[in-house]
Amino acid sequence: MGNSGVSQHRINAQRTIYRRDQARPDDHRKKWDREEYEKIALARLQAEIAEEELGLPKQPAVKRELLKQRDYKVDLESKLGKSVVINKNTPSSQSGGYYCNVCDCVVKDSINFLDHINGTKHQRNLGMSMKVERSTLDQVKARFALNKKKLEEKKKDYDLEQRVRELKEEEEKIKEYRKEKRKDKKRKIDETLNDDDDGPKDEMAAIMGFSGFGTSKKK
Amino acid sequence: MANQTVTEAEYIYDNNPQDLVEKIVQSRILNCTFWKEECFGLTAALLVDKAIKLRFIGGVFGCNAQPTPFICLVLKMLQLQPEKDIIVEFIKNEDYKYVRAMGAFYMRLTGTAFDCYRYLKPLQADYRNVCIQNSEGEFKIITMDEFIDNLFKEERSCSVLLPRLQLRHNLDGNNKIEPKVFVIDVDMNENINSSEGDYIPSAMINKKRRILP
Repeated sequence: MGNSGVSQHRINAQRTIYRRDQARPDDHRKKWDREEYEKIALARLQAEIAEEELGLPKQPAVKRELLKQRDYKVDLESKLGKSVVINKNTPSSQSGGYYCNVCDCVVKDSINFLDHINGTKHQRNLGMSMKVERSTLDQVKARFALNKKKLEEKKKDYDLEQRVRELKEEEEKIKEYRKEKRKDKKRKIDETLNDDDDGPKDEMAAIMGFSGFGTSKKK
Repeated sequence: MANQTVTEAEYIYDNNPQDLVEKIVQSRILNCTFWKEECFGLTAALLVDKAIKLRFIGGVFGCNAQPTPFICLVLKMLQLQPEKDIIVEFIKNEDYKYVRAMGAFYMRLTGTAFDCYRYLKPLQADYRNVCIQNSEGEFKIITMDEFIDNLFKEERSCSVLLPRLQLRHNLDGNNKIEPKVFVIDVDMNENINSSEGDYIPSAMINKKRRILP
């Protein structure tokens, strides 16, 4: 309250700050009105002292975070090629264009939207100043190391996956081989049995290129 | 606001470092989506992530002068003005050739003649292929040593006018610089120790000898 009082006072005083020199009426230059200034200074000082006595906490200067990189990809194309009906009653967030939920505003095209979210106003609403952190050599080195590690891990994962796949394939091959063997055995047994049973059928089958109809089960 | 040079940056050649890139190229970069989407709020450390993803070198291309990601990141570096140690780290790294190319380019733009000779000349032993896009938008494969050589010989590289460089023998006369080390000599005697403080990339040691044209 004290502060606003002072500023009010200042505005009122604005007109009286300058005063023509009374001693020399021909001098057109403005002169500082020292008395007036002293009054203002005194009033401010008193207000400050009064505030301190009351124990009001001083308002800290607004401190904003340093600028951060966006950790998400800006979605510019999800609504592309879609038509929406807009009435008078539709909220602005659902009307056409890009809606910024931080600043509650709609921007009409992608370039302007990018400009908006990179702009001072938007960043201030997010609580960030436009200053970028100054990174040190160690940070850069760490970043390089991190990227290298990531790459290596990716390689390892890839290797592991491949190995698992190879192992599975090998297993399947072995299984198939065993199956084939079993089938072969069965067929041999069948053939020996069929030879005894019926000659002409088998001959026909041999000509056609198969050894029997239906299942390979023993009859 | 976001596109201002950092306040603690030093002037280079009595100019705002960003102005090393011509005004028209600058405005193209500032208006492109890569800049707006990806380059916002980067620090020198985060710049590494972006630089690793680079796949080619280039300036602006096409009749409408579209900027490549390479030149965008170079402008970002000019904006941030990272310390010299960080640039040297960029140049020294062996894994990512485009990060190295970017570091070298930045060093050529902002560094003194002495630093350029000291840090860039050893890179002429790096014979890896790099992809470069010319102003018509066509891709071409050159080697890293060719790129570095162009930085010394050409007036303009990647749509940026390169600042003039003092001749090496002028620096030699003032005993400011060590005598030239020829790659071919280094290759001859394999047992080099880098304890002299001079940086020699491992490419120089590992690769087979090749006579430069």
